[in-house]
Amino acid sequence: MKEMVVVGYGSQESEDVTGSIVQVDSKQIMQTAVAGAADALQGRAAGVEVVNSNGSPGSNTEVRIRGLGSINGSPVLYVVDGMPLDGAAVNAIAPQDIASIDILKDASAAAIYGARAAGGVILITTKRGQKGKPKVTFDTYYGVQSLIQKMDMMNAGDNATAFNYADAVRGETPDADFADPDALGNGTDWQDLLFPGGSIYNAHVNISGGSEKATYSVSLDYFDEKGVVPSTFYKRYSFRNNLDFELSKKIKVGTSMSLVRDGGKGTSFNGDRPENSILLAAMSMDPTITPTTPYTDFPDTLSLVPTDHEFYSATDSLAWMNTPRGNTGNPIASLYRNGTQYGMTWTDKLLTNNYIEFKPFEWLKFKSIIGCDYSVQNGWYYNPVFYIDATDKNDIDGLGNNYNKWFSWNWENTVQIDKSFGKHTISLLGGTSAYDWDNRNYGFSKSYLGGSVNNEVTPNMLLSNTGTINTAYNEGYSGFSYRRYASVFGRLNYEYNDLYFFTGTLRRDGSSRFGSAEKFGVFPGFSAGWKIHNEKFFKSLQENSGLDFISFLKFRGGYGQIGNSEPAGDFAFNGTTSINNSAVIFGPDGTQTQISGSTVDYVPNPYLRWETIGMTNLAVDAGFFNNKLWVTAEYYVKTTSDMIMGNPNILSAWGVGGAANTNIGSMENKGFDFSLSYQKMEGELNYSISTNISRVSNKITKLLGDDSFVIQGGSFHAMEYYTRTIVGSQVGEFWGYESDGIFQSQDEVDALTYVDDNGIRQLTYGSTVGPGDYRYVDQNNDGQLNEEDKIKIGSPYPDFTMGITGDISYKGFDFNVFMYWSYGNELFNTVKVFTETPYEQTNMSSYMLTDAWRPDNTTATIAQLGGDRQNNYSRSSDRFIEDGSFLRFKNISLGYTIPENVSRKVNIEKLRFYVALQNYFTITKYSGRDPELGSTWGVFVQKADLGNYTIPKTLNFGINASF
Amino acid sequence: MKHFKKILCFIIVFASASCNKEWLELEQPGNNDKPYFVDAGSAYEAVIAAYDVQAWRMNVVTLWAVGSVMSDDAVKGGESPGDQQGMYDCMNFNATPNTDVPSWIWGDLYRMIARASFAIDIMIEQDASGEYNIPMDLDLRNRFIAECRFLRGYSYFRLVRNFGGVMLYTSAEDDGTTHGSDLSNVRATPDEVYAQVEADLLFASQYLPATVPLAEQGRATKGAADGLLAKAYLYQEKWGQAKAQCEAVMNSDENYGLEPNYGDVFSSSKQWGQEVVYSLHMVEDPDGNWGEHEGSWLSIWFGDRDMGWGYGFRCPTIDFVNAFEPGDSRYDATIVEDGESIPGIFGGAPHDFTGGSWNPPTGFMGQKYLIPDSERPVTADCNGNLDYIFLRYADILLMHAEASMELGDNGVAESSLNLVRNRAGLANYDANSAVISTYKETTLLGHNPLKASIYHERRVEFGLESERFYDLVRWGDAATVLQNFNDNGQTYGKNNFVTGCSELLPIPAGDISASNGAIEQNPCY
Repeated sequence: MKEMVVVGYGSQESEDVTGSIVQVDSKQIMQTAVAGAADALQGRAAGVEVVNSNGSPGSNTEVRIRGLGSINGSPVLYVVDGMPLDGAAVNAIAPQDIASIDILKDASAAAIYGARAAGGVILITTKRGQKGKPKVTFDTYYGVQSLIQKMDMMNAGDNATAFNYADAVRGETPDADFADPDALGNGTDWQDLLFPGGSIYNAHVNISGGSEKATYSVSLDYFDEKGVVPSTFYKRYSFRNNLDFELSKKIKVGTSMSLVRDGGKGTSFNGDRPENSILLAAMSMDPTITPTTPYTDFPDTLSLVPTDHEFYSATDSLAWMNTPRGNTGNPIASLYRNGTQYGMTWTDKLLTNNYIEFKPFEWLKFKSIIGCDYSVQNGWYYNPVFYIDATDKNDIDGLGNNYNKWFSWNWENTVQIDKSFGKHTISLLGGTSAYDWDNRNYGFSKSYLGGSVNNEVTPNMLLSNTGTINTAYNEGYSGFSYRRYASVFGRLNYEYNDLYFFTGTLRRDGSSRFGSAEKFGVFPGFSAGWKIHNEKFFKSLQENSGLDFISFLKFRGGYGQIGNSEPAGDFAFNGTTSINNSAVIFGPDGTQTQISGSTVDYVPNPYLRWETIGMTNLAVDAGFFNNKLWVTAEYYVKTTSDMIMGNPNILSAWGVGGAANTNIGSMENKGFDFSLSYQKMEGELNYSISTNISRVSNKITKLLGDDSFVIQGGSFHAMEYYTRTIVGSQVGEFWGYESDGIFQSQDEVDALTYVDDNGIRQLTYGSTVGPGDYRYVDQNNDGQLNEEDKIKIGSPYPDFTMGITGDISYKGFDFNVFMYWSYGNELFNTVKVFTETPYEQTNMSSYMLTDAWRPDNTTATIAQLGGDRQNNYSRSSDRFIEDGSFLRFKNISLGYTIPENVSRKVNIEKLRFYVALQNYFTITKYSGRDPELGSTWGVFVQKADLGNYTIPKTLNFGINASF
Repeated sequence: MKHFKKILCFIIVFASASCNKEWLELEQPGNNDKPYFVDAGSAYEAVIAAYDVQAWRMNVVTLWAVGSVMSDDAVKGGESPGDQQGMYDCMNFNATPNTDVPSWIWGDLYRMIARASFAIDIMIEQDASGEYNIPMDLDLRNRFIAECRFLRGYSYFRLVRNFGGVMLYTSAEDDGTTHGSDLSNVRATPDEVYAQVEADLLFASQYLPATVPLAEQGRATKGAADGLLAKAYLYQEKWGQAKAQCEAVMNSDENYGLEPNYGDVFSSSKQWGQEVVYSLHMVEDPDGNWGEHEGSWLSIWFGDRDMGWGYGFRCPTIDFVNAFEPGDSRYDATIVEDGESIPGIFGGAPHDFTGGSWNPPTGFMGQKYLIPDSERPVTADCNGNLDYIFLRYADILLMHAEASMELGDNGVAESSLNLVRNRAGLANYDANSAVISTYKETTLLGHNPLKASIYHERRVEFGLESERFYDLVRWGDAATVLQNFNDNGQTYGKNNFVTGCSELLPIPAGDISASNGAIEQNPCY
């Protein structure tokens, strides 16, 4: 049987494809235990970069196909059984229900989706029933999750020693509690305390089968992940029903319906500093204090902790203590509050998709698909009153309830003609598409509910609006937005004698997102292929030269254009007249109604248009030894023009509310995709190995037409900006000072001076820098250290990424290794701002005691404890840059299938047990917790480690059974 | 074939529908494709939008953050030095073009200017035949324009005394709001800005009503325009015009006067009393959100942190506390001392400024604009009712005294001065009184007795009312006063004042870079 791949609005034999399409099959998708389809794609396809750097259960995964299409990012278009859906809806599909995922990587293939295909298209096909008797499958696994790596922090005694040293350097009085560091011992290990571990559980049942005229596939799925950070979780209940009916020989109808409830709780405690990040807090919490120190004034605050919480103790007001140093709040208390049942979001989705197919003749087919995505999301939270100390408290309790409803429908109609004339085969497709999306949202919040540290507000009180609630503190909001697309499209496929192939597509899209001047866009694409191995001359060449091990050889290439409307926003082309948005009340207090005000608040841009991406793709596919060994190599160039950005040259003095979105930039991406696979599938010992390698780099070619324009990124806390995006360079490269060792004496510092504008000689480093502090290269030798001395200090882009999968099976045993290798990028490790300084926080990395500069350790490369913080930890410099390469064993699994003759005895067709290790082993030089990082703040800050919630490592046990 | 035809028809009908441009023309929520401003009602909405900015939170905060905190009268206060870092940097004279306080002033006032100018534009636009685009009654049109010009004059006055000469935009067309090109991003001179202020306020004075009915309290009046114009003249040392303009207010039919009891001026019962010439109208907004709405949050800014409803800002200095002469009844209405109980405020509980968990850095707090517990906003902390008085009759009198003195008309100066002194329970001005020799204005600044007395009187009369820094700057006394500032050994960074630099705030960095440097920065920033 020929392998088929799904293309837009149809399918094609994979050998005949001329564009760049890669398929990931069901087996690969199910190899790792993941919540959603996007996660399953990591490392599976060349040119498809998948990063999930957020370990919070249910968090979104970043998928980037063939590089960064735009400074705005270019979102991937997901199409599930012909229905375009957003990423969240795709995450709600159980991986076991997916038959295949086909990825349209190049523009010639994606152009059929026109204006929404800029980021590439991922086509998901769900499993449908097969004719035959009912088949039941049951898959389940349970996994134990833990923090991917525990960081080596100081214990209590070492921490006291370090503080004493730093206080001496700063000329401050040492803490009396630290007079005898040794007496403090190990103290508290906050990482162990805060991260007891999480779990992952999944169960999936599917029943499928069918008669001659009707087939069905019905599944139920339950997914439950409890995060490594206590109180975070994600749960999903889903039901899917795929039915197909043959009404007559000519007419088929079918439906897919999926009902999903998913939701959970992340943590708002996932910021970029210890006060608001649980992982940073765990590293920087003072180890000399213990969580059992009672806070005597407010013992009843424990009433805010549910009694079934794992930290709860009826006898000991354990967690409520004040922190003697630093401004890190009490992380256990924060987890308590996060962990109360108040504060989570649930979404209910109904995804449905229905088709009718009419085939009056063998060569002519009409198809109409209509589907919708109806989602309702309800989130609510309660912020209790609490008091830990004067800085860590909340005096006013509040309740919020947010409601969101999305409804989108999509209707596609196609007509397809397939004809062969002798050696010529033609396939013609024409169609229309209409898409409508709308969102309504509203919510309310209340404050001053009457909760106090001694008096918890109960959920019933919150919902019933009774008790002490003062209705005067109610607030409400509502909003809505909508958009529409309307399109016509066509495609011609031509094949001559299994030798020459041509595909041409054209799509015209219109969108409500653009003003009348630019409402429509036309997106063409074409590609061609040549199967050399079918040429007579090649066959004779093979016979003559012994090249007959080549079983397949095809060249193909194409060009296409696709559009990105996402950055335009829904109504950005309009100059907004803000009506009723600036009300004023005149007259005596409390007696007058407000008077509406209206003004023009945004600068209009009726000429706003799509970002356009043109991509050229050149490729060769080759099969050797009867296609056991298969190689595909591709090269592409992707040019993006009309990139959208808010025009920054708008002065606040013009008094308008915002800058119009404007088409002001261009960029280019170039890359290689390479994949190789080999398989042996005969006899008792079977094995296969497949690898894919991707390399892509980008370059900004225009920004505002101003080559000196700089977009900076990354500034946080006391740290200055550390990335720059400029013309001629890649997006978001790391910029900063080049370090130049450490000052060994005050004389060295004082020798560096410059003359200021007033003719006065000034110290380059100011008066606070001394021996043991970092010295930086003054690139322009003007005696001053400023923006002009910053250089490119690193790049967040890997030289290549690689996925390697090996499978081996022998008799009943199967073994799988799946590795992901990212090589050659740098990381910006901002965590050092907190773990190397004794200022903002109270604990530091262990190496600071041994490796930091001291008068007796002058060869050190790390600045002195207690040195000048501004100089050492607020300047962006290469001190924060680290090698970000890593090779990670994403999955190692071993399975055993009970021999059929044994399992048959208990009426089980197939029974397999397996154990799997996920993310357990990582080879890297990176000193931080996890080098697998994605975008932090849009595309302008990538691969920066902020100490956020990292992905866990998992030990899984599972069963696959079919009856 | 029956089915086939049906389906084909269906698809053809639908295909034509999907190419339909109208189907893609969605109406934007909150926007209207048709010109919105077509009649007097919508023109009034455009005027309202300009008024709206007046009460924006940071727009009011910046008044005292500069006028009081940067002077010798007050320090920033708050939880810690880093609580409102920008304000702290201003107090220390360490502000940079990236400091937030100047950008709040700049952004909000220019927003008010843009909205006022937009409203004026739409009301004066005419078609080819000379007909106004918006038909409306001439008197109404003039009043609306006068209100906009009043607000614009007020904004430019505040901009020029904070930043010096600034860009002058008097039409939306000037600033790219509608056209986006041919911008004049060049700073005008201070004189040019003052000329615009005068022109706007003179127009406003001509067309604004002398009074507004109760239901419209909060809209601009002729007296407000006249009083503000007097102040603009005074800042330019146009003494004759300043004196005349003060007299226009003093002799008007509107019976402006001093409240007999000084403390009442800042109470809700007198917010439209005889002493108020121009106030920023604050009303608790029933929507109650924390956005840019109509309420005041001064009371919570100025409240004691330990009382559960206060941020502890703008604490009076010891230097200022000591400036009150014995028997001055204004002292009690201005200063909160350690241990003091204020009836109706914080339940009448005594303030603890030495043993509390938070203590004001100077040991004192301010009392003006603290509201009684019974008047606390219910919707949000920032949403109070009490108006903020920008210009009151005592200021008219003291401006009159100062202008008269500068003109050599000492008798007139003394009589206006005495009205203010007497209300505070103090005796008439006497050049030979011993107390004058104790004034800082005498000992430190060496002014003659009458000048020292008028300057001193302004300080204590408008204590913590956001006038002091601007007064010191225009008198040329700022450097001496601030560089010698010493509050029982504490200087709060005020000594960093640099002559020729610190008088003006830095222009926000964002606008300088957005103009590609066409806007010149103030000296030393």
